[in-house]
Amino acid sequence: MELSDRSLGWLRYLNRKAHTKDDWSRSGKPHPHWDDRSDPPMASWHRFDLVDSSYAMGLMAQRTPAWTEQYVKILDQLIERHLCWWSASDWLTQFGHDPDRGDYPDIYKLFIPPELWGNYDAPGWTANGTAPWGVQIDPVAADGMLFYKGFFLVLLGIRSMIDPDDRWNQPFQMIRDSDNSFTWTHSEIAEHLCQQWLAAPIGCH
Amino acid sequence: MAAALTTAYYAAPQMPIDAKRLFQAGCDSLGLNSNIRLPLKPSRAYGSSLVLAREWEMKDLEKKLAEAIEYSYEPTWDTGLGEFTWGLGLNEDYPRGQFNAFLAAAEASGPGLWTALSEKPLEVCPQITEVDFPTMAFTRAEWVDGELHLRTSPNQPDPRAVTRFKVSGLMPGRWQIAGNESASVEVIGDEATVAMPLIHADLILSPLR
Repeated sequence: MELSDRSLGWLRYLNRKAHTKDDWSRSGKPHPHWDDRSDPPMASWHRFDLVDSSYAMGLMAQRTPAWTEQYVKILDQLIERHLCWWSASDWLTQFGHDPDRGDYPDIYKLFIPPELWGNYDAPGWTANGTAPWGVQIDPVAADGMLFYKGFFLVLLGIRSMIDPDDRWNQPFQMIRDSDNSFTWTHSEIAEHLCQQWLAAPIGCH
Repeated sequence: MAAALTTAYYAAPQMPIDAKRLFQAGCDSLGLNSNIRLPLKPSRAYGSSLVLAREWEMKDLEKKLAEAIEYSYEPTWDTGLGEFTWGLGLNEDYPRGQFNAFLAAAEASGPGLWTALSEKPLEVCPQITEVDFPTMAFTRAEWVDGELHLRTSPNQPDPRAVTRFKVSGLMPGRWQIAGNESASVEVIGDEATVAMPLIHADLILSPLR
C-alpha cells in the first residue's frame, strides 16, 4: 500500500497546523486555523477539529506501517491541546439552561421537539450545573459530557493503535486551570466511561 | 436521516451490519444513490461517506462521491510548501478543519482500513525515525518478506542535497540498500542510518545474507 500525493500534502499541512504554537489555556486562545465554526450547535468547538484530524492519521499509518513517527508526533500535539481548558470551553462556560433558547434560529427546529420549542436547550448546549447534578467542573468525571470524553477516547485510541509506547497511560493533567486540574490516564477514562454506561444503560448525557 | 451517515461512520468498525443499514438510509435521504446535486454544500457527510464507500468497496458510490467532491470542494495545492487542502468554496483564511479532516480521511481510506484501525494495533516492526520531515517523506514504507520497501517523496527534490534517516529495531547484522547508487547505509547495533540524495527513489533495505 502507498500514500497518495494528496495524502502526503495534507499530512504536511496538518503537521504545520499542529506544530504552530498557540495557547489553549483559559487565558489564551486557539489559533484561528482550528475550526470552531462547523456544524453548530453540536460540533462547532475546537476540540472536534483535534479529534476529526486524527482519523486520517490512523488511516495513513496503515499505508506506511514502517513510518509512523510523523503521525504520532502530530497526534501528540492534538492530544496535548485536548488536555487544556479550551478543549472543554463549552462545559466550562455553559452553566444552567441556555439564556438564548427563546431565540434559536429556525434551523434548530431540526433538533428540538416542536412542543418544547423555546423551552428546550439545543443539543450541544452542555447545561453544566443543572439539577439534579449540580456544577461538575471535570468534564471526564462529570455525569454528562459524553461527547467530550467519548471522542477524546477515540483520539487516544487511534494514537495507541499505531504506537505501542503507551505514553498516554502515564498520568496527565486535564483542564489545567489552577485548582481545576484533573489527573487521568487513557485507561482510567475508558474505565470511567464504561462504569457510567453500566450504571445507566440509557447512557450518560 | 442524513445524520445517519455520521453515525454509520463511527459504528462501522464495531457494528458493520447495522452501520450499513444506517448508511444506506442516509444515502437515500441525501440522494447519493441517484444523481447527486452539484455543487455539494460544505459538509462532513460527503467525506465520511467516501470513507465508507471505499471501506466497503461500493465502487459506483465511490466514483460518484469522488467526482462530486472533486467538482465541488476546491482541491488546492500550495506547491511551495507541498501542502494539499480543500477550500470547499468557502473563501476563508484557513481551510475548514473539520471538513478537511473527513476529506483527508477519505483520501487515505481503502477496503477494510477503517475497521482494521479499531480491531488491533499495527503490527510492531522496525521503524523509520528521525526523518527530516516535511523536507523528506515517504509514500511507501513497509516490510515485505524481511525487506524494507521505501518510496521517497521529498517536497523540493535536490540531487545535490543529502538527507538522512534511521531505521530502528533491526536484527543486528549487515544490511544493504538498493535502488539508488548514491544511497548508503551504516548499521550500529539494531539501528541503521541511511544517507541519500534528496530525490524521489524506490529503495529496498535488506539484510546481507
